[in-house]
Amino acid sequence: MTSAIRFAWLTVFSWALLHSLFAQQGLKIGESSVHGSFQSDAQYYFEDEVIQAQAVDENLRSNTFLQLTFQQGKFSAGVRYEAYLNELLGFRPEYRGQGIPYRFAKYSSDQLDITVGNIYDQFGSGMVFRSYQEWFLGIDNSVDGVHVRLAPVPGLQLKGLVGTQRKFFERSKGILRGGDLEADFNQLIPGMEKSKTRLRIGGSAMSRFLEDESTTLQLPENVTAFGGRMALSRGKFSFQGEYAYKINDPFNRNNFVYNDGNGIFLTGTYSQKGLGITAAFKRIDNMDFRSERSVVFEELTVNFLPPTTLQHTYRLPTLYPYATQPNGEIGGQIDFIYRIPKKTALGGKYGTQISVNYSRVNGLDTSFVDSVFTYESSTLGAGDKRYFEDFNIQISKKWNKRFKTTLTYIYLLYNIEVVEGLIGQPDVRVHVGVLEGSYKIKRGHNLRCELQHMYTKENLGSWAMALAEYSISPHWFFTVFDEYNYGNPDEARQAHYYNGSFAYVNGGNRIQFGYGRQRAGLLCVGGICRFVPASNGFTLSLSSTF
Amino acid sequence: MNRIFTVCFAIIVGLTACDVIDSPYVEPIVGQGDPDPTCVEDAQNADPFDGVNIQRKVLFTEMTGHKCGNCPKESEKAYDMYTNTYQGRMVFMTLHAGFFSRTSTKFPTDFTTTVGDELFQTFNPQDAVPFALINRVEREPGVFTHGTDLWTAAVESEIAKSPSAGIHIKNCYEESDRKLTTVVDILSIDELPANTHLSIFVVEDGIVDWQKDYRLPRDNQDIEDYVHHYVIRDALNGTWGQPISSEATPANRRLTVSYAYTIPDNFNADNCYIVAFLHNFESRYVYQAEERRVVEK
Repeated sequence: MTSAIRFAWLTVFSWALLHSLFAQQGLKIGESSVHGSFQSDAQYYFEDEVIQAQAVDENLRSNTFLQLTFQQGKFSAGVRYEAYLNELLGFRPEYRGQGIPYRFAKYSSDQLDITVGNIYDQFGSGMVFRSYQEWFLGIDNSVDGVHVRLAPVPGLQLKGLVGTQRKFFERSKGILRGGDLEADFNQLIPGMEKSKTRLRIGGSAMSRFLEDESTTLQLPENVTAFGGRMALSRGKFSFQGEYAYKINDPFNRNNFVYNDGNGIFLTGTYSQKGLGITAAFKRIDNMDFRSERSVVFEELTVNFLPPTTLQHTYRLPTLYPYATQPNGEIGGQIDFIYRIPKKTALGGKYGTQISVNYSRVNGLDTSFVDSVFTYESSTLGAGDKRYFEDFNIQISKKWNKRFKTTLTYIYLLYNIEVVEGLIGQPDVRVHVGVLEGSYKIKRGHNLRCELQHMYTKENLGSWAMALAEYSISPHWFFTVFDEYNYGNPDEARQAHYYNGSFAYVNGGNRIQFGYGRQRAGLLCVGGICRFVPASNGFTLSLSSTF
Repeated sequence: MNRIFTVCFAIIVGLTACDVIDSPYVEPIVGQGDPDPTCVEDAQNADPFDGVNIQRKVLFTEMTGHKCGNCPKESEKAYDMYTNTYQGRMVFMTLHAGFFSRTSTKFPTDFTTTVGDELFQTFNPQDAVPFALINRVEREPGVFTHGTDLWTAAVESEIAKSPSAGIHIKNCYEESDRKLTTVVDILSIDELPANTHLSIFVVEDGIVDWQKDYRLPRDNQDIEDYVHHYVIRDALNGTWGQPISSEATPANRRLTVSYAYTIPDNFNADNCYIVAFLHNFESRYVYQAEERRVVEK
């Protein structure tokens, strides 16, 4: 426990020092400025046999970063220090240690940007290329190299980059080279500036060079993905479409299949006052693209395949989140939001909002034609295997100036074999009901409560949950909740996952302290997931932006 | 404007490149490195299968971890099967990977390997230990792992099958530069399909290191001088090995493949073994397995 106290003091001291040095506006010296952000997440672990949580030898582990960005006129430069001492459970052990894995220098003007160092960027929706960082998932696939953006005329933009991806504290062996061209026709063509029809068209390519070191297979050393996209809107309607294609790229995550890959993503939207309808369609076939061939989980992704399923935020349905299956899936989503007007029988004094969402994802209809190396798949044929299905309806109503409620029903079908790789387990079908109420006690004081119940006969069985959150804005937040897995088929595992925390927020600074049990499962952000093991312990989180 | 588009397009295309590979996708079998020619010649001149009654040997891969407190009890059972019950009919390896194989201050030795991580990810995505692969038999659709209660029956069932092939290993080890030449002889008894691969692993026995054991009193469950048996340390020809032929291998065909390998300094060469096995790349099923000590006693 001594190390925990020492760590807590050190972290709080660093946080206070940074806060006092930079205040909230950053540090200004003449025309130059320094801005940054800091975050430290620490956990003290206890062994807990009931939920199969492990203790760790260090007792306490922490993930920390500090990012500083210097800016003067058109020039900027930045570094990020990261420390995983040791990495929190659920994060990849390759992160263990500390260092400065991110640094960049950039010149930026209206017509030209030049960046050297670590680069985050995305072409279109990301189906060909996306480099990004997601702290909570432990993902950082920034490209370390050179990036140039040219805008020779208004409405036309060209980007090009070359570099290698970050691989924990090292770099990947594969070299990425690519470019993107996007034209905004409303700016490019005289007379279209004020047109109600808005049109953007883009195209991109990303190539990876990786030496063929295999003694077994003939592997392509240069693999390229191409993509084309358009975004068209007029009045209340808008449409976006993107198609991507990748040449043969056999590696361990696609079982060394030599098929070319392709993907299509279409979205249409209609919106008017009080009504919004969105429909999306996606088909992905062999589009996992990495900068190395031997990868274990989500590291070194070159592209990003956007999800077409709703990312739930209530805790119980997040037990079964869907992660995009890059080797093959076909699916779609329809989202409907309608606001019943105020001062009507159903709308009441403040109006009532109804949201209905349905999504479904199936595997592809494929059959192998040449042993294990190539398969055939029908262009639009969905396979029999259902990967995921989600129907949910939500009704939000404000009853008076102080009290509002949200009622939600969710049905999920979750193919746990495909999403989590738990071979032999049956599909999980769950029914979730959530009642959320928020009551404003007095100015600045608010109480929010949730009651959740999830019924299922499969996997871990049924759960119930209650949550209460009291906030004294803008500074204090207190939360307690308990998830009870009363339906677990193993009686010894019918556990309460209790949790309590408080947070203090002051401007861009936040400190949160808590204690509780964390259930095992997938943690997902934007359709990308990592496994989090069960844990029991104290947590401390500090963050600051300045 | 057209010129700008043309230049932009040319820049993007110029930045990229493609290598399209057509069938056949597999490389011809050639072995690796620079084997000792005398050792290879001696092996080729001899007929290791002459007059030998080839028996079926079962490849038993135990999945374990040094922080897995439930593992030592089951490891003892597996080791007893290998050394006593099925002596001479079982080839034994232990695979350390996953959550329970992570290193820490008290468990500093990293027993994980690239080959082990890939096998674990393929056969045991649930990250559950102790489990075993027994000839990589798919006992249910998609399920390769066997719990301890299934081990004996699965081994009995596999041993009872007639062998599809024979494997013989000859090792020539030079202590001065730690260079090993391994010559693997294969004799097909039945026709072997086109997707038959040969895998060659290096395993090390008798590694003394930390291990958690839940059978011990709660405050004293970390054993400092635990003996780890037959730990997978490396693969000579990749995780999934090499195809022995680009087409089906007819019955009664002899193939000889040689490999050169330098035993890393942190391996105790005296305790190292070469494990060779033939398996179906598609179904993963193991047809035959063999082992040979690097330094003969």
